[in-house]
Amino acid sequence: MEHSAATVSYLAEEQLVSIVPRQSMDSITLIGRSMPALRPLVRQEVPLWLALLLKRHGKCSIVAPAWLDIENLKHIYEQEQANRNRFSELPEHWIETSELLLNEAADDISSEPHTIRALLQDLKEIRQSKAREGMGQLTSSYIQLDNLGRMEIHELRGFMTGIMRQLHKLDSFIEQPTSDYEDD
Amino acid sequence: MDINDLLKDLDSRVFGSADDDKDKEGDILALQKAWVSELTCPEILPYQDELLEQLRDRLDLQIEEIERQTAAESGTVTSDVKFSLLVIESEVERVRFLIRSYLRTRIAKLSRMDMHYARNTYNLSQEEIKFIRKRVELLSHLYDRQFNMRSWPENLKGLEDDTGGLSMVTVPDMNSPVIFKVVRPIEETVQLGDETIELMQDSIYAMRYSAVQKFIANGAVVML
Repeated sequence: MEHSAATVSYLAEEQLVSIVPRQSMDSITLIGRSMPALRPLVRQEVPLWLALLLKRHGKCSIVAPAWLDIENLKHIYEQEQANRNRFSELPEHWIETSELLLNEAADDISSEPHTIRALLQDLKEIRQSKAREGMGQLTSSYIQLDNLGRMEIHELRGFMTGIMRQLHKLDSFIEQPTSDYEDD
Repeated sequence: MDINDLLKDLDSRVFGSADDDKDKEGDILALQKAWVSELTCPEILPYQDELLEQLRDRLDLQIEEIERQTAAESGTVTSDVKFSLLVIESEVERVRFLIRSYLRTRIAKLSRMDMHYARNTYNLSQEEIKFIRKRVELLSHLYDRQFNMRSWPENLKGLEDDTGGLSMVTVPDMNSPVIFKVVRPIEETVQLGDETIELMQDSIYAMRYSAVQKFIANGAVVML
């Protein structure tokens, strides 16, 4: 097993989202957080996987998260442009969540899913290019990655850790006489 | 909402099932955390014995519940019961996946560093220790026979040889970089060569494992 897009998505499906039930249902005891009793139009929080299951069976609509909104996404994009040195704040599972919601609950998310999709794509691209620029400053010791989402980190992981490993090897090669790294 | 629903709501509030639920949710979150740590850290981490046992017990209960409901309602399954079974089954599948992936990740690491972990068993479960001993035993047999090592001089036979500075034993690379988020304040600074680094809460870093190892153990950072 290794950390993959699938494991990252699994974790995204565990986060809580708000739903508006369309019909009554009794509560269900589960291994983790149990499903609460559902009443029509009474908002509840459930894990995303359960929200999607309810949605697929026409039993609820999903409340679009506040950040997944055209005006907000435009605003974040402007911030990304204005600050070349930092990433704007987005939920850690923003890529996975928006994909799942747009694929399975587009009617709940926005009247213009195409616009949302386009904005998300722009955001992904501008953040990717920033991340690439940032990799230019990679050293063998550390790098700070504040506000990057889990999927973004996943996509950078192999490349980034590979370079850090190589740099570390070079360091300890250069410093060999006094090196304290390779002792164990 | 009718009177039954009101009573049920009241019951769950009075008898604190919400707290119970928090614990249950906490167990799942704890195993998810252990799973991601296992996927990303170079060494094998402490086996989550109690956690797994509790989750396994609850898994068994759910499977019994599925069987009970299926048997009781056979023939006249209402769509509500069908759906609630679907919810229970979906979650059972998710939890099974989590446990399986956790265990397989550990076995993959064990196998890659088998000679090392046959000697350093402190973080392993009883089953894993049995597995690793058997594996090393079978491998030694295989090498013995395949290369006829039995007839070799004693000093060339070892499988744990490190002459010439080239170790035949794969050990965890404690310097391999890991990516993590700081979730609790950390007073101590981290020394990396000449650099002193303050780990800021809510920040995300990539850094060599050996520098942050202890913060994983005490829960101040979570692996990403």
